[in-house]
Amino acid sequence: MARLSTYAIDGTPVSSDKLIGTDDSGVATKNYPLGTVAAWLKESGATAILGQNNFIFQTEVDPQVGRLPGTFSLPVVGGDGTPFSDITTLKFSITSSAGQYVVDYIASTVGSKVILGQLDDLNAFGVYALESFTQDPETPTFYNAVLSLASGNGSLIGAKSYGFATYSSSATSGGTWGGITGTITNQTDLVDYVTAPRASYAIQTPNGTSLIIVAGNDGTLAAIPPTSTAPSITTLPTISGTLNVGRTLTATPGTVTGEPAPTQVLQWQRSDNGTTGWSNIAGATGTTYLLGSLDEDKYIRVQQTEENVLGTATANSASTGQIQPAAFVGLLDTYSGAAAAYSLRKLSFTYSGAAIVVRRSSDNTTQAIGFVNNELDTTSLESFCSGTDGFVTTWYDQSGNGNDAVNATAAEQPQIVSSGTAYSVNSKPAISGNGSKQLGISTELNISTDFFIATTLQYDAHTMVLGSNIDTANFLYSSSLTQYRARIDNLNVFFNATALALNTQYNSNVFRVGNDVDHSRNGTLNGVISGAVGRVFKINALMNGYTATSYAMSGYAQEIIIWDSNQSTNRTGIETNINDFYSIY
Amino acid sequence: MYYIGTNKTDLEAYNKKVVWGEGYDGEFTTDWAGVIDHPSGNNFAMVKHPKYDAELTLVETLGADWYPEIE
Repeated sequence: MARLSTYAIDGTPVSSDKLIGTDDSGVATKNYPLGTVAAWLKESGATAILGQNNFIFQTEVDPQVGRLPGTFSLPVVGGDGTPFSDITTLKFSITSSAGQYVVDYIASTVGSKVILGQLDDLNAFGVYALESFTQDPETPTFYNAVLSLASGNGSLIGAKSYGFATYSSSATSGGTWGGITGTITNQTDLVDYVTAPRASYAIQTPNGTSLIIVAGNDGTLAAIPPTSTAPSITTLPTISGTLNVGRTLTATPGTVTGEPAPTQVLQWQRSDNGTTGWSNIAGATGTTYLLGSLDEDKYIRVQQTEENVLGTATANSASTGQIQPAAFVGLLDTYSGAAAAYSLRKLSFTYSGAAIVVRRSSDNTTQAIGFVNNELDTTSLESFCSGTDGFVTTWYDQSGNGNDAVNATAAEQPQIVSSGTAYSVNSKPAISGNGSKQLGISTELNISTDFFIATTLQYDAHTMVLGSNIDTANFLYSSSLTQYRARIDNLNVFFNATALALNTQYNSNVFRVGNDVDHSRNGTLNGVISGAVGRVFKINALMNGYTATSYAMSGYAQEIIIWDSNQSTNRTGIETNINDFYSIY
Repeated sequence: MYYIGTNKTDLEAYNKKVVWGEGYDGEFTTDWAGVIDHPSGNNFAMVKHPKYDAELTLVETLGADWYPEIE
């Protein structure tokens, strides 16, 4: 029942609120209205005190040792002004018919600690061990409770209301007193001496049903609104994702009703056949699940459990299909978040488009060329061009941002097939520029953040690889006169290395981190240049980066990927991925 | 090979001639070539299409004076 303590008492309890508890068999939540419980207590000759620090009965102290007819009362021993610390016996009268239930209850708590406290003054109380509770031999309608003091403060005062309560030591009702040490001045402090499970009340109703009422963390009884309902899952949870080892599945929980709002638990499960033998996958309790090697050839489902104080509901998703071996993982699957990504290899398993659109010179018709085994489908490319030349009208952006690089001007379209044979560099297909070709990005990239630009290329003359073709302020440029060079918003960045060697394949990367710009080629850094912070790097052209096409790339481009974020910690991984594929160095 | 002229419209007309002759699809390809402006503003050039001629001056390459120096 510890979970019940997660439900705060319902503001101001009303009689129609439901009371949280169990019956004496431990069956969870007796859904008794609060008012009904109060009535039982009242019929027992006491007034119900609900929601106030562990007292369940009250009666008026009788300074004359008198009893009100038909009530259950606490006669005073010693009368008004008696210190709690002096009380050793309490005499109970049970003149009402319901009083027997109270007697039975108190008798069951012999050996436990009990508390007698003034209801309107938390500083007045006594805690005692209930040594015995026996019928008075002289007056059978009286019972004598023999007490030994554990702690007390204050004195009895006439005409005040007092509560008498106990924590049962039985397993089902829980709540035992711990050792009381030091000075206790307030009844609330006593809560600290009740060991877990904290505060449950055993109440026997007039019809003989035992009810255990559980208190909240603050010692108050927990009550929930009468509109509360047990959880119900009205639609099944579902699973989405690719069924390959290394991919992540996502669970969408089913629709749930219930008040108080149920607590949800998802548990991923595995089966050999998708029908029987489902077992929990240890630690897999989130909305997503990364398929591992143990899942290969197995079946997966997710189990949704909803629980509130009134009950529990469970629903299972449909089984997935059989989990397949690990599939292709592209560079962008590992290093995501690119602003634009152009390549003649597939960069992400989620990308389903083509690599390029090619115009053949024989009749100027075009065709999209995709991938085979995650590389450019050169067979289809060469077949389409059929002995003639092929030109790239579109180099598709694989980042998902739609920044396709295009050129509708035939003379400026880079070439990829010559007389029926696809260009290649180091056995991988390549797009050729002859110094007058370029591709444009319709929505200019304006990068004011950190960035990382990875290029795989081979120059046959010192020219541009990318930049803005409507100004002279933004480019990446291999200069025959100086070094490999970047210009970022008119800031000239000359890296500490010579220009890229001609007719040599490179992985050449330029990146900015804050104020610094750095360059790496074939995995080696070439020094940091400062002063770039706040400058906006504008890119609207590939294979060019200057007005018109006067310095357009002369050479081959195979891959250009632009991240508009800091990838410096991923640099080695990115470069390794590129080199593993292109075998550059 | 480039055609050179002093009237930009002559080169634009040459472009249209090639476009009509080649029957570009109008989607992925709409023009043959763009007009290249000389920095002086007095001369214009366009890449020659191998199949189409024009009554314009034909040169093998454009001289260095056509290209703005990178600062």
